[in-house]
Amino acid sequence: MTTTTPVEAAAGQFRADMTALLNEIGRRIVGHGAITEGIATALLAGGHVLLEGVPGLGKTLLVRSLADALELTFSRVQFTPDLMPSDVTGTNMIVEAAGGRRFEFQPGPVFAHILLADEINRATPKTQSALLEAMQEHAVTVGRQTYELPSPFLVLATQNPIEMEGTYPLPEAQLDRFLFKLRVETPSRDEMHAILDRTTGAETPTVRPVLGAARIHEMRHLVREVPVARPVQDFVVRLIEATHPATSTEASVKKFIRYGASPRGAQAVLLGAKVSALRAGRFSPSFDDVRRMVPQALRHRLLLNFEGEADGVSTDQIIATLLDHVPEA
Amino acid sequence: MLGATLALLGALAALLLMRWGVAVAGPPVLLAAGTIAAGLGATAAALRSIPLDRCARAVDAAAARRPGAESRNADRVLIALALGPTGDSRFTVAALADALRTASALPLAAAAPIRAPRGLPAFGVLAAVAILIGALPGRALPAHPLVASNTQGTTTPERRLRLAGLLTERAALATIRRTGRALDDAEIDGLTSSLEGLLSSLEKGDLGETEVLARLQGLDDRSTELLREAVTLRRGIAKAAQSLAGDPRTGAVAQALDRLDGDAAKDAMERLAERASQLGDRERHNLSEALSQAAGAVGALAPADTPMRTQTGAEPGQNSGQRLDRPAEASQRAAPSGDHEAAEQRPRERELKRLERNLNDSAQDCQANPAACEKTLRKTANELPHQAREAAKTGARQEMAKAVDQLRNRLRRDNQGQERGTEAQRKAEQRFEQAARGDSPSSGPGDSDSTPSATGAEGLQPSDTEAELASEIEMPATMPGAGGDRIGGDTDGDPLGEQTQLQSRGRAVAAKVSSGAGPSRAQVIEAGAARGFAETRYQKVFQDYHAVVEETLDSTDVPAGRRYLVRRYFQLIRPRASAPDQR
Repeated sequence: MTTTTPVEAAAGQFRADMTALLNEIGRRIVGHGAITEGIATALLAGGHVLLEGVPGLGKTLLVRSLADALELTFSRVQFTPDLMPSDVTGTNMIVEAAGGRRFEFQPGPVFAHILLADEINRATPKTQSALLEAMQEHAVTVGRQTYELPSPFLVLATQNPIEMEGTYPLPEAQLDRFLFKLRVETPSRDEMHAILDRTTGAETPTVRPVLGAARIHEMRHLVREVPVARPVQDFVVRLIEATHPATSTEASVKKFIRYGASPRGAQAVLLGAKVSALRAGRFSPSFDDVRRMVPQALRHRLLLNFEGEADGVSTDQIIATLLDHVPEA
Repeated sequence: MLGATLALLGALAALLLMRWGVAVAGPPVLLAAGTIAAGLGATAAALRSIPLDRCARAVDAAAARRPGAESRNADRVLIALALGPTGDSRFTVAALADALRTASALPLAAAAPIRAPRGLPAFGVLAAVAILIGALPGRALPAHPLVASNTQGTTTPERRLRLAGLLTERAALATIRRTGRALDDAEIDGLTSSLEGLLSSLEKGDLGETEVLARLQGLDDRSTELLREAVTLRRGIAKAAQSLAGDPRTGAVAQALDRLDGDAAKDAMERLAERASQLGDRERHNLSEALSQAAGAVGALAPADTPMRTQTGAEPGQNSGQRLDRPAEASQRAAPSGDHEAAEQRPRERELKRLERNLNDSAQDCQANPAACEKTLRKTANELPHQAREAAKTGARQEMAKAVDQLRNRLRRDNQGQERGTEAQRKAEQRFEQAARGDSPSSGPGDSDSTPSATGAEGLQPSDTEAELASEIEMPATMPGAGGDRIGGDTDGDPLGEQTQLQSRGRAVAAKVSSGAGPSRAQVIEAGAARGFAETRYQKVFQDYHAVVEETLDSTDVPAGRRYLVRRYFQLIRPRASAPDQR
């Protein structure tokens, strides 16, 4: 007879809840398992996600399904060039009241648990920057008043990698605030059949909420408790160091990279690895957990130089090379 | 495995050393040393400590290989091992418990499976190399002659030289030997014997490179020295004949000397001696003048030495019986002074001085005393045949020097082409040589019945002019490969030798090819190649082509190596039955 410790029970529950969340999303979303898991990981790690993919791949539906499965408030903002920061954050408006007119803050769409910033690169940098405080501080300041955002707060931004006309690439500071950058790939043939079966029939799959805000907070707290072994953490540090041209020994990094990943990148890797370990029923992340998280946590944090851009080098290629060459110990 | 590999490396090194002739310990000692090395290596491998993280990785890897395990390596044990000292949080405890469960559920054989030693591939390669080296036949490294000469007592064996198909050289030696014997030239006979012995040793591969070089150098020095002496005597006699030709009384003597016909010269001189007492003072004076001029011409070629008459203190008209026996006295005088070469090693120069002295004595006696004149002329006549024969040896010695030089070139070229040449090519070359000589394969060299002429064998006519003689003397030294310190071992530069520095006159010469009745030149050449180069028509064709080739070679900047090849080719295809020189 085996006895289960509280930690083991909590980890087991964590695993079950996460599995339930993914299964529920999977009722509506076909394929995109890695994307769904990445979003869930970011949610539980307390980060935001940048989704990159061509239109029509189901990014918006995926986010909406996530919101439906989480029993959280959801709002969507379609970013356009004429979108103003106040359109996102909200503004003070004159309101007729019994005592006369007065200014009253009207919250913007950012005041939701889950915010879908669709085609975020179509807004001007000024509007994009309006999200900076919200993403980092989970608060919005209008005038001299700061308004707390609901918790948990998750920003899911999408952008089209192909259509660059009339877009404003995200500044590095804002990119760094996304925990993961996930690439939404074109579904396979079988997945395409399943998508057509589900979306062109009479019945539309419904998603019921499986997790509430309180449970998400508990799960986030549990993730923070997970210890990281020093060799694993050292591996993460050496990986981050290897992304910098000044300290890297990898020729491709020296040749094609302008700036490497920030310490926030290392945090993203470790937090994602912790979630991955708990998801696998373990109590500490392994080297493989780190390896799985590195591409999605670092690909938007490496800045290519002119030579890299001109040669069409992708940061994923650089990261794959680093994972092959940086030893675990 | 480490010890076994080290032992194998040691055995390999010992094997290589033995292959190169260095004496090392015997097999029992080597076997014992190898066993000890293997044992020490095994002990060291057994006693070495294995790091804990390595053990943990082995356990984790085994756990990942279990059926139903995660697709990824979870590193449970390794992580727990790293987490252990860092804290006692509830997650750490849970991680340790999880690792223990994983490890305890794992069979030991799965965590520590029997695996092939890591050094096994290297060991296998080394073993294969050792077996290969052991199976290969032993071959000594070539030692540089200079190094070999300075490292006496070393155990490195010298490279053995082996040449096959020396038929051309043997045929040339047989001709030279016949010529030498016809001229009663013991020196040539001895040299040909030595050179034939060297050829035999080369064919058997009995000699090393250094010894071959030394013997060949000795033969070359000796043949060159003999040639130089003979040429000097030949030139002296030619000068004497030229001087004597001016006086009608000595014209017959001059003609005979010019032909190197010693007997005819003797007869003519004796006839002159018979008439000496009947000559008037004026005629004897003129005779004395001619003889004196001849003596002066010969003396100009003789080595700078004190004139015999001055040495002996004899005056003109003094009784010739009072004069010393010049050769014997010269030997006696030269020996104490250390000039052994003048007394013993240069008989041809001695003959030259004897001729000068005889002519001088005759001139003086004929000037003063008719009776003494007759006696002195007879004495001079008696020595002329011997002197003429000595001078006639020029051709044979010239051929001897060429033969030595040719062998040197053959050694160099054969050594250079040793790696490239195949057995089939060598046999083809031998067949071509036999066909070129017109011999059947069974007939060996020296079967020819040709009789040497009075002045030498076929093709050994001495040259007539001083320039030709001088050029023939220096010819061997300018041939490619002469004077080197080893045989063809040098790999730098053009293997055919440096380009000659001749001033090219650039004159285009072509052989006439006439068409008409009878076989064409091409047909004649083809027939000669098939039947052995003995037809009369072929002789004419060969003469035409050979003359053009020689003239072209002399007037153009043909590299020495190519020049050698062309001349050797024409030497091989020369008409065999022809008496005159067809080189």
